[in-house]
Amino acid sequence: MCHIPEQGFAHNELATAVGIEGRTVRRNTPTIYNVAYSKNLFHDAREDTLEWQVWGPLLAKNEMGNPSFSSVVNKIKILDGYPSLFKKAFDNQRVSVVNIGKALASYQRTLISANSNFDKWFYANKEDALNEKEKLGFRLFVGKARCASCHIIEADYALFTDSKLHNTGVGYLSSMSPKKEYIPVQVAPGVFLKVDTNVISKVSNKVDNDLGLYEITENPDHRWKYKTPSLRNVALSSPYMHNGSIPSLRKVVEFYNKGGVKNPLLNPLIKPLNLKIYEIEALVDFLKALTGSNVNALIEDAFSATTSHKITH
Amino acid sequence: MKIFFLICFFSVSGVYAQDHVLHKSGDNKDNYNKNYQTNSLSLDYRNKNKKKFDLVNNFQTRHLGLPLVPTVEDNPINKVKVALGKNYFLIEGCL
Repeated sequence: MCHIPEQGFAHNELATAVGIEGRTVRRNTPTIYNVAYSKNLFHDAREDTLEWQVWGPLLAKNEMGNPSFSSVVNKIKILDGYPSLFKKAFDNQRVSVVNIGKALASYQRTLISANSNFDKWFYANKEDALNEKEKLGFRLFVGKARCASCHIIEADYALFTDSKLHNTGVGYLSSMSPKKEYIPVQVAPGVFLKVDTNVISKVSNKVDNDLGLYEITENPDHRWKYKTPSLRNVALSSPYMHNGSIPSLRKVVEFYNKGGVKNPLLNPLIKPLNLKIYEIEALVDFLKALTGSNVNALIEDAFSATTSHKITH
Repeated sequence: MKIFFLICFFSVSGVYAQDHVLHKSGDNKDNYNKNYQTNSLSLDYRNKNKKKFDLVNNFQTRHLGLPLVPTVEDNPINKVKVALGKNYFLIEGCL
């Protein structure tokens, strides 16, 4: 399970989601709120349309694990009701690779969520929509903390992303750090056990090193570059960063306050910020004010999906 | 004897109530699949407050703080397409 509606259409419980048969997935599940506006998709931006992006997880052997395009098409063809709905949706066309992509993309495009307290304050001049601490957080966001250099706010709308890829040091840290002797394993919510790394290695898949955009371009300068995510609804989609390695918004702000992780390819925009504790708290409060007003409606709507095509009475 | 009749009464009421839920007008066994195939993919979902929530409308509306979604020429939005994608995404394939 990856895009869980009540978990910000992301996955709050695991740094990286678990694929079919318990297989390890390398990267954190991004939220799909407002994915309609994304110019590039996946953390490494390897796709540029939702219609084709959907096939990545469907075919990845460690995600949905379908063996081929045709196997997905054939599975859908035998689901009650689907072939006739495809004809209805696609001008009498059959179930096909292209049409499956279009249907999945269409649903995801409808998950638009804004009208947050920030929007009411900034774009509708509703002065009391943000409290003073959140307003301070905004001033820091566009000023001292320089968040808006990448998480862009325009005059009449804000996508909170520059749609570019940057090296913040998170990828470098996980790629280049020496192997830890023990790994904390969460056995229940909030309960961790330290388990010997060698024990885990014996029973788990080897996870390939993650080099970010380099894996697409093979340009060495692109190592550990990942896409700037939008910050809309960011409070709902913990944990954070491309590998889910930072559990809370406060820790993310603290990470940037320290200047990320030094490495030869670190984006020059990432520098120590010298934020005081109350400023860190104000930034976190501001980020929490970016939650859209309709998220509950979208979650409820998701729960209204038919529970199974096999239901008969 | 009274107890026997009481048991019979509640048993019959229970069966009737169950039957009533399952077989209300337009939703009987024979029609169910037909309804499912054409209407049951939450095209007109109403939330807890009985307020209609429509994903296509959510898509087409300008949300404060966001621009209108750029048009995708070869994949115009329609209700059935959204419902199909939603059901496959959440139930069959992707969740």
